[in-house]
Amino acid sequence: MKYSVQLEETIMQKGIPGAAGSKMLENFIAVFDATVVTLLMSADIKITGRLSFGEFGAPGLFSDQCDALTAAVSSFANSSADAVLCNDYTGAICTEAGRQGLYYIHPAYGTVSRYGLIPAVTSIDQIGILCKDKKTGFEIFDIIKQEDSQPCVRGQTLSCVPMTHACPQPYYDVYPQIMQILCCGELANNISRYDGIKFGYRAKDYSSLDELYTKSRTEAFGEDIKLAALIGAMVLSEDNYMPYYDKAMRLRRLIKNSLDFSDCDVITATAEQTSSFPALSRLCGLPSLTTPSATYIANSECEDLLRYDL
Amino acid sequence: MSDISKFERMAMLSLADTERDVLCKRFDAVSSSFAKLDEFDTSDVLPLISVLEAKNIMREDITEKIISREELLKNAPEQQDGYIRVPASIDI
Repeated sequence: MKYSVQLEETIMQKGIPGAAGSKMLENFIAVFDATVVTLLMSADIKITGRLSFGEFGAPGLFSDQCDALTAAVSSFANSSADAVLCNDYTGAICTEAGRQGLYYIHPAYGTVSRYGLIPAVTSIDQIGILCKDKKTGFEIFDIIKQEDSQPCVRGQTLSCVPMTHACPQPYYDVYPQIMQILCCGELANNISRYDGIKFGYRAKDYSSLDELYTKSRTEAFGEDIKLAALIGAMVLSEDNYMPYYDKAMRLRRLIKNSLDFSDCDVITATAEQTSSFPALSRLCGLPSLTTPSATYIANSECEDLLRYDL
Repeated sequence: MSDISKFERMAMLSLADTERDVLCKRFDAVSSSFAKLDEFDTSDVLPLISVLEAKNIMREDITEKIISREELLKNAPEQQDGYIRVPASIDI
């Protein structure tokens, strides 16, 4: 296929550095190919470069607009590449994509293999496609998805319902908090593997194993990751687990149950509403498409609907 | 400001005073907004741990890919004689 694709640094390609935007992994060389890399290569798609959207993608967790992210999206916009594969677990990349006139396809949770993706937020992590046009994006999606989506029943015309009709108001305001609690908890857990022993950065001076761990992590992690680790430790600690992490998971169920697809195929939100909308698709694991003018969420396993003219 | 030293230890970090002040302020700003969760009663709802509430698909436990010791050790920060070097972790 004639396309060329860039990879976020969190997707491993054998023999190529994969720093995930972190000093912790600045010397890390991937020792195997991610499944998506194998699939791209077997379709003769050229992998033309690497991009970082900030350390382990965490800056998007505390602000949906940050310089590193804006610069990365615009460097893709100005490049000759057709698409970037990346893990937009916070929804900040797709929001920025819309702002810059680009598209982002967020597949349903579990559709694309995560083998070889450096994990961040296990219950949300999902490789998606940042692209310049929707048709190309879906062609690349067809290559990287593991199995065909379930066939979706579709009438003559697709019915789209605004977010305000399909998702009850009370939950709008609490998405950022739920996302921060779940993401920080899971990020803190996933970055516990970076201890300066088997791979990654190791501090120079230490006198004990404990000091090796703490110094390596303190010297190598940036501020946003440290903040995520601290908040994660808090929400997972014995006294705080039930009121924060457990409660956020309960709210996630309430939100998922509250989405009403009975009278529509797709839920839409305008660009003005989109700051909370990407969080909704990630929390519920639903496929979504972000365009320069709006974001669309389809029912589970029905990302095919997003291919049509919306 | 909150005392974050407990979470600092849990996260295996040892922050310098200036960095701790900065992070403490940001920690308070984020965590104080979590009070918003109190507005919702979730006592009769089960936590949604994963959106895929499906059973895992298992395969036979047969080695499919092998990565050599040499290759794996390439990423180790300190190594010697084919092993990863670490400081003594037990008292002799």
